[in-house]
Amino acid sequence: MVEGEPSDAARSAIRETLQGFPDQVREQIRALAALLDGPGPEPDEETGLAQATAVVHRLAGSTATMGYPEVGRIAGALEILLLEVADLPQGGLTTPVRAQIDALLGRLQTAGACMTIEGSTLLHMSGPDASRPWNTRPGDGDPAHPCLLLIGALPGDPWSRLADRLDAYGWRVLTQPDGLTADIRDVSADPAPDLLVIDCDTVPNGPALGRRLCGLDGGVWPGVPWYLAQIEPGLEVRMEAAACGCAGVLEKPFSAERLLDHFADVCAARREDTMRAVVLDSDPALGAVTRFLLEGAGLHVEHAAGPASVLKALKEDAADVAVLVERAAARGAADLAAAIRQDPTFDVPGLVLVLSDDDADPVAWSLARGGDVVLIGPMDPDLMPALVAGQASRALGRRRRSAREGRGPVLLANGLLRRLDRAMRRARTLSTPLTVAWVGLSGSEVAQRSDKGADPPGITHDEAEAIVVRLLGQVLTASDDLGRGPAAGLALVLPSASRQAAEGRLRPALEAMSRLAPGYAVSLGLANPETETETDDEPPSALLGRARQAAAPLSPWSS
Amino acid sequence: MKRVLVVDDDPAVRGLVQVALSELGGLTVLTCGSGADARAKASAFKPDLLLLDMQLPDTDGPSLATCVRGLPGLEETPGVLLTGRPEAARDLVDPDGAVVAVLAKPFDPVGLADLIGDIWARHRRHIRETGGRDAAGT
Repeated sequence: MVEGEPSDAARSAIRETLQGFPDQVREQIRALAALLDGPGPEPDEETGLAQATAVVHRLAGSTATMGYPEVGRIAGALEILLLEVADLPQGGLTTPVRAQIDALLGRLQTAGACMTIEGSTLLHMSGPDASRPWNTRPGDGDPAHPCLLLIGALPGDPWSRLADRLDAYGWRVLTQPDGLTADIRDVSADPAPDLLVIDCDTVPNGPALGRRLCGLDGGVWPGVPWYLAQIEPGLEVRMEAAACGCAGVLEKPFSAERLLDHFADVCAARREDTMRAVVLDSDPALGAVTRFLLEGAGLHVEHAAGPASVLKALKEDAADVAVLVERAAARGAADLAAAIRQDPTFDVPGLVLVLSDDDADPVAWSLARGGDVVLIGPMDPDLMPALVAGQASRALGRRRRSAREGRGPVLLANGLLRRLDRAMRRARTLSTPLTVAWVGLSGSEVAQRSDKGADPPGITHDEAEAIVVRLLGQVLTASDDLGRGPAAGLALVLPSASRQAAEGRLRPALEAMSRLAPGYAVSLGLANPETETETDDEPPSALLGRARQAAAPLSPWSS
Repeated sequence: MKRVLVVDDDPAVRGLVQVALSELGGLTVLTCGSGADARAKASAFKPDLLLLDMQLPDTDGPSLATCVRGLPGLEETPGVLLTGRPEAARDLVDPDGAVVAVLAKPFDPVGLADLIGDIWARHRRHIRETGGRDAAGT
């Protein structure tokens, strides 16, 4: 038996509950088709719609629960569409909506016809979507003060120094001395931490405990990154950790910085792994279905209120793919696609154009309007998300290939200049703010030792700069860039940020250096292209130079 | 925890939950298809925990949980919602309220009993720490 599969006895009991279920579903689909059968809005449409919504709601819930997720997905899409239609004013059942209902119903009938008892996923595995409490999922905490939970941290040991150090970085550190299961049940009632570390020297069942707490297959905090810590971790614990989904095994003692670097890697990997789509659809009912289908395909979806929202999302690099739906009642998506594709300031990786008019010629529209993929409505619940995901995946690959120093967030100098050049062109074109920051570090290990003695041990310039990078990394947004700047400093590109907003974010973060690296001083300089020069051809290097020239030491050292 | 009152209007789901909790989990289970049926039978059954569908023909899961907790002897009975859209129900969770957890459909039938056992134990601990009326537990 494969791990995760039900036992023979369990499988037999589950099979018993599935007897007759596929036939029941097919009967329900037939009833649904009868309710939805009709040319369009009629006086009794509301009653029929309500009944159909009730039937499809039950279908979506029961088929997914009974191990037929594909049937449940299509029924779910249809349910969302019917719910949206019910909210529309009288006569809101437009031709495109009617066509979409028919298309989804047809797919549901096909999927229902293929259902068998042995096809239920319940018989084969305890799936990755196994139920889990949703009151404790990651990200419930305060994002400004991420939370670390230490299990097995005994009072008075080096963990307290780690906690103090993390506190300086703005983290909240919670400790749970005992790793006994009964106590862990209490801990798991709390909001999910951002990071979990289990001390295997005091918690003998560390790997199993971590899996139970953070495992994707039924953990109480599914997806929270977790680490094991041990004085001399052997091969056995490392293998066990890998098998349990642990993010890594840390050899004790380890520094707060090392832990934060691990955490940053995990966060970066997650950002890099998320495909993002922005959808423009003037029809709210069909737009809701699009969102449902794309989210089911693993995309993060932002619904744009209008063309301006699409442009904003693209300007901020917040989307890997734009899905623009052209409706007869609200034309403009095709023109927007053409405008985006022809504008060099938009480096949009993927444009998917959906045309809801049957008389549209997709080839001609594609060539003329610039859509990478052109679809004719109604949307196919499999084809549409697959094509959009394909476009987004290409963009994701491009994002991953951006040149950075090692595994960290720092772009190489040329990479940063390219990003800045693009950001400047966009800021000029769209008349949006842009702030460039230069951060310099002065001081040395020798200076620190002469001032403070050898305790705490002095840190090298490189180590101090790594602290600066960590601090900056905590305040960067997805659209910001950090890289090598002039004169051995670091530079930041902050699109859409005013000088005041940029300073408000960077200064408090950098002031933590006084606790983390005493003896080193940080200088900060800011520059904006739109307020300090009227020329459109100022090179990026010149703007960086102006930020460098404006640099001044930060408080509290200077005050 | 031994007794679970399951309320879901879908007979197929009721059957699966019955198997998951009773045959596979060793718990005593009473299933009902509506809020009215559950209200009528709850006092006699004396459940330790309510496992409720979010939407029922005559009421909704949170309202039913509140109603059952209004019955004598069931004031501390925790309610757990079972729904296909758990995100939409997250705001309903309150450790001191009628709904203490939300579980997502589809669920793993083999692990469901353990899962709600953990939720129940957590709820008991919370009651003890906050001085609930039934602090001794059951």
